[in-house]
Amino acid sequence: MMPYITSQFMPRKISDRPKVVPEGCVNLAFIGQFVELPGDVIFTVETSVRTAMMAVWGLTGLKKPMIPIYEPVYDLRVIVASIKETLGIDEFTPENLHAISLSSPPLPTLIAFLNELPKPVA
Amino acid sequence: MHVWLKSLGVHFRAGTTVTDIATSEVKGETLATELTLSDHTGVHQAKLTRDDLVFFTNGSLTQNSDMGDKDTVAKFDRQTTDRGCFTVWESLAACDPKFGRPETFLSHSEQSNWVSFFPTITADPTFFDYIEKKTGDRAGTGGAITIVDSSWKISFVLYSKYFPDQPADVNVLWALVNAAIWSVTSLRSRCASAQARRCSQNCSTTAGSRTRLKASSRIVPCRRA
Repeated sequence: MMPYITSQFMPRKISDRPKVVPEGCVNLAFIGQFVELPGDVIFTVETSVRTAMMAVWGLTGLKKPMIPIYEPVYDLRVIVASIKETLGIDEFTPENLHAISLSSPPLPTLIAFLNELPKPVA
Repeated sequence: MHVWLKSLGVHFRAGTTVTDIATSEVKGETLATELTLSDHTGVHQAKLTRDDLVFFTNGSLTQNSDMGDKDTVAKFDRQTTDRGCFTVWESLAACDPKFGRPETFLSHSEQSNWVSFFPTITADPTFFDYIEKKTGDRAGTGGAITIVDSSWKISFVLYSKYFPDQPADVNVLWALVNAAIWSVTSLRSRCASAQARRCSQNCSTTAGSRTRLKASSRIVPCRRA
């Protein structure tokens, strides 16, 4: 029985979670799943690692480039693969894109483009 | 890493709980000035300088968890006075709004809780066969399934072989109840109550959840479609 297992998902304001190194802090940093980290996703090991890296580098003044946050939302291959997975389809057809009404590009062109997209890089 | 850090002179202190972090504002800077430590010998203070760095994990998803077993219902710990690192965070946040508002996350345990359990079904593949057929996903490949009309909002994930020495006629699944956020697939089906009873009796769960599973579950699909 875990009373707080999804507490990190509660609706929040930006100010409800501290930054990794809050304004003015010189020897205190916050790490883990309850830290405000723009663009990243909680409930992940990645967030724990990233906040710890940011905390150490921030307080020690290490000037190393931070590994960019993975942003699949901007990767058309990922979006298309997700839609296929969600719909349980292998290929787009005019039927499963029936809600889209386009004059340009014509629908067959769009469908051909989507179906020809390579699988996302794992 | 532990060995390597020790070789560099890092001192690890086990069996010690940090119960408070004191801060102060000095010339526009925020300094952590003192840790309150608790161990078997009592409560101690550790003074900090500007060069002592504090990395604070200000929350734990499993804070105040309680374990159950087949004969003991896991307790729902609702007390709010001792919540480990959350309590330290609350104390910090009371000093300065830049440390956030832990109450946003901690004041909804009725919604944010799970009872997580791990049923075992022995020598009866009916349930696994049915779900695999119904969802089209082999055990171990599908997403979580939520029974939307169960009073517990029960969700479960079928595992394929989970333990190296798991016998072929033993199926295991992970299940959780209450929190209503995992809703990947919804199934609405009924089956013969005798079959359901047999299936849930085979589920090794906490006594409470087993009773409630029997009483409230309308799914447990045991008949091949």
